[in-house]
Amino acid sequence: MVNRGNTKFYEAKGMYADSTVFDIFSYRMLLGDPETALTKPNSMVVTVSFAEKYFGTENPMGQSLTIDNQEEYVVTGLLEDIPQNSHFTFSFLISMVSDKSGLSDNWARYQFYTYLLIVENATPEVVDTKFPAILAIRIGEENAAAVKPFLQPLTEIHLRSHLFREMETNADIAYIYAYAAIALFIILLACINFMNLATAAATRRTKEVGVRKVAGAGRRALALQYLGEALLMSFMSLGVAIVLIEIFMPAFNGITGKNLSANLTDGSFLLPALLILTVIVGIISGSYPALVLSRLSPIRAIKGESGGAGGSSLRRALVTFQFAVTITLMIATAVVFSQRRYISAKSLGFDKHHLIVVPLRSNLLKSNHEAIKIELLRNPNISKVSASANMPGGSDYGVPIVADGLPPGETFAIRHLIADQNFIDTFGMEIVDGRELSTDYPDDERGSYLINEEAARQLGWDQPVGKSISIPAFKREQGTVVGVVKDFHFRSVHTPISPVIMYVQPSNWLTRISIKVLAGNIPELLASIEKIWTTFDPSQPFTYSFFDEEYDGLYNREKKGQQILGYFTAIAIFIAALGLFGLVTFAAETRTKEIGIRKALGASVSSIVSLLSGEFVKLVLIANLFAWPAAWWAINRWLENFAYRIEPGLGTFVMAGLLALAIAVITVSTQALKAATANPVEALRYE
Amino acid sequence: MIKTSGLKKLYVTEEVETTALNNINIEIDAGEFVAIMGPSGCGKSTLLNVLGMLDNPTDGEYYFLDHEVSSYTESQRANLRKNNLGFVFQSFNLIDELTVYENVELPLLYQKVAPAARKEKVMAAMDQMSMTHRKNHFPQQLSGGQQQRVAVARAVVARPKVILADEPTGNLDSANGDEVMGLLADLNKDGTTIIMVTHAPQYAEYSNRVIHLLDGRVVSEKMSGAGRA
Ligand SMILES: Nc1ncnc2c1ncn2[C@@H]1O[C@H](COP(=O)(O)OP(=O)(O)O)[C@@H](O)[C@H]1O
Ligand SMILES: [Mg+2]
Repeated sequence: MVNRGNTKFYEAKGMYADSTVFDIFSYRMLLGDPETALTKPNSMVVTVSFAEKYFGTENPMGQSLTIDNQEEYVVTGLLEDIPQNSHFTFSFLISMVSDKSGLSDNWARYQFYTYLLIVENATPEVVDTKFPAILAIRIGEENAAAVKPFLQPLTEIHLRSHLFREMETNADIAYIYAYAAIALFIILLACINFMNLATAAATRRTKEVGVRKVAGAGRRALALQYLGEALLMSFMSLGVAIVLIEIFMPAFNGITGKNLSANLTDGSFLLPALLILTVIVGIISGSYPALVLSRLSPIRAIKGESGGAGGSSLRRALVTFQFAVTITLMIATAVVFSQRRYISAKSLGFDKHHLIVVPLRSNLLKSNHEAIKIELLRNPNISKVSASANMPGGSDYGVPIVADGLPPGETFAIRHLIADQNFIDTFGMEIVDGRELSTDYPDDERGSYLINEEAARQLGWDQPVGKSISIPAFKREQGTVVGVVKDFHFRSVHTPISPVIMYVQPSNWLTRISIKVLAGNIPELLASIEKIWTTFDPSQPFTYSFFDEEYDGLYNREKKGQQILGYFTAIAIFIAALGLFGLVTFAAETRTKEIGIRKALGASVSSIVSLLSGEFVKLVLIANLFAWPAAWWAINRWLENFAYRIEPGLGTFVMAGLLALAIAVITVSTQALKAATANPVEALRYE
Repeated sequence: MIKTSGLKKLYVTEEVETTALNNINIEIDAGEFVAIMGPSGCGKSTLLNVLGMLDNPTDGEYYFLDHEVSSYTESQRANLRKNNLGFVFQSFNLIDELTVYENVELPLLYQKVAPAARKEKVMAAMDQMSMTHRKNHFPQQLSGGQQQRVAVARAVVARPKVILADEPTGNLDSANGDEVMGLLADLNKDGTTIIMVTHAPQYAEYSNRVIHLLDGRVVSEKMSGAGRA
């Protein structure tokens, strides 16, 4: 919490930084000297929007602010706001020398992110080889052997790094490739529509071509004419697209929670790339019609003959391709959504519902947590409460433990869940062996542990209860395992369940109280919880969160990605259906005479409809042959991301195929029906 | 076999209302060869289309084999059509994408004739029209006379009771025209009822009765050619 007099806010984005931070990062300092701004203790550098919040229009330089009601800091520099797409963002920096924890000089703790600027022709790999020697001097050979520092390029982190505790939530390059691929396919589908309809309509232009040829137009001139028409169309579409982007970008950002902008005038690659894409699209869609039409012989063209069967067989191949893409996307979407359902239905090993989490922000609150718990439990709508340092879905302490049965000197990597004796009960977890921690056993405060089944399995313990464990990093000597917790998902279901150890730590470790509430009037309940909090520490603004929302946050990015996939699929289906609609309309039109003759000879409406639709239906069926293997490959690649995943059955594939078929049949038969029910006389009258 | 009473056909377009047929009362017996004549636009094709059940009359009654068909649905008419009627058009109306053989076979497909019987009937009809040697050709590869012979083969292949021909010789030179008329006359001799629209008096001579139309009305019915004898 930062305050200046009565102006106080919680600031989540403050960081300690070395005085050299401005040598490495290119922040623009508006006021103050980058060389000296962060050299003295209790100095801070703030961003423009942060300064406005506390100082309004006053000059922030030399002003002071209080952090967490303890230390005062003097503003020594003003930075431009950090762009949203920066590697990391912050609203203020505090000089590293102000840190009193001593952690900044402790080489065995990894509390800080370290960035190096390597010299022009050094390679990161070479720098990496120097680390072990340095570490050995700082923390001793033995400890140094356990860590393997390495460098990664800053520009690679956002898209490619998936380490534990990244500076910011990173994106995944795989998603970007996937979107790009889907976007490409959608453009292709649209190109195909253009090619198909252009060649189909071209058969109507054959007379024009014939006349032009007779009048002396060469093949080249004609081909260029058609190509030019396609390019013109493509550029007009670009104009429309730019307008559409302007219109839909805010909605898209709303869905994705991103802050994308399509700025064409800032000189980035976007404008040239779009222009090139437009030209390519124009050429792809225009080249085939140009080729077919310019090749027609003038005599046949004048007689109104079309390009012949060759043209329509390519058209068939293209329609098949379109539907193969559409079906693939449908299968992928179906699998993605059923995986999502599977995950959310999967038992987590704890009950995430009806839990309100309230942070313990001050030492006053932490030391009074027992009294707060007692007060809370007085409320009949509150059934259980537990204070803890962390919880499932959040961070934990990455320190190894020493355990029975490990070779001397070796440690065991495990996740730590530090909580009071009520946690198991409050989160509805299950004890499968031994007992839970309890205030009835005074020893549980310092010397008892719970582990999960996975920990017991990995440690090779058949009888975990009674085994001893110590955690040297936290100065916890020999303690005993008193119980085993049924496995639960400490992290997202992407990762397999990892070993977890649970134990009690002194109250200054605690960060929050989780409150299990009975269904009821939530606002009223929150008001009474707030009252308890403010009686214990009136200096702290009251905040809370719902545990299930927070935990589900682990999947937010995925969920958005899947939503986008859903929209993409819908667009693809729409485009493919549109193309089909155009083709069948055209087919019905060119075959009016044939339909009339057949009807005069006694053909029924249904036989005409199936005559017109049958061909397209066949193509959709063939499309499945291509779509199924492609989808199979893609979804298996994607499912590999999950430690717990569905096995997509044949049913999904069949369903997607049937859906595509239904869409095709509905599209085609509306037009076919119109043609079939038309009066045959009309068709036969004209010549 | 065919009887109309007070038959009327109105075409209503945005600009005008055309009375193409007005109070037509005719009767045609089985085995007759009837020619319909009259100036262009007097309603000949319209009458033939109504008689052929390709189109519904606006008003009046039409009895075909004692069925009152003017109120029939499209599928009921299609059923009567495929079992009793054959058509020959001025512009042949063959399907370009199908071979001669397939064109002739078409009516049998819609009658769901078994494949073996179908083949036999198609070959017989083509033989009768001397088109067997062209069975794998496409219509575009044939002369006008040949195309019309294929059309006649298609009209007769299902052995219809009635053949309706709308200016069957209109697009043919006189040699080919004579030949097609000869074919129709032969069919009539074998018992098929023929109703034909024509402009040419010499071809009207093949019929035994001529119905003259003017502005959608019957102005005269005369015995002719074979009928007078
Ligand atoms: N579908 C139609 N819509 C409007 N008017 C039509 C239609 N068919 C025919 N007619 C009109 O009906 C009249 C008779 O046409 P038709 O029977 O084709 O004459 P014809 O004796 O030359 O065969 C003509 O005036 C024609 O313009
Ligand atoms: Mg006519």
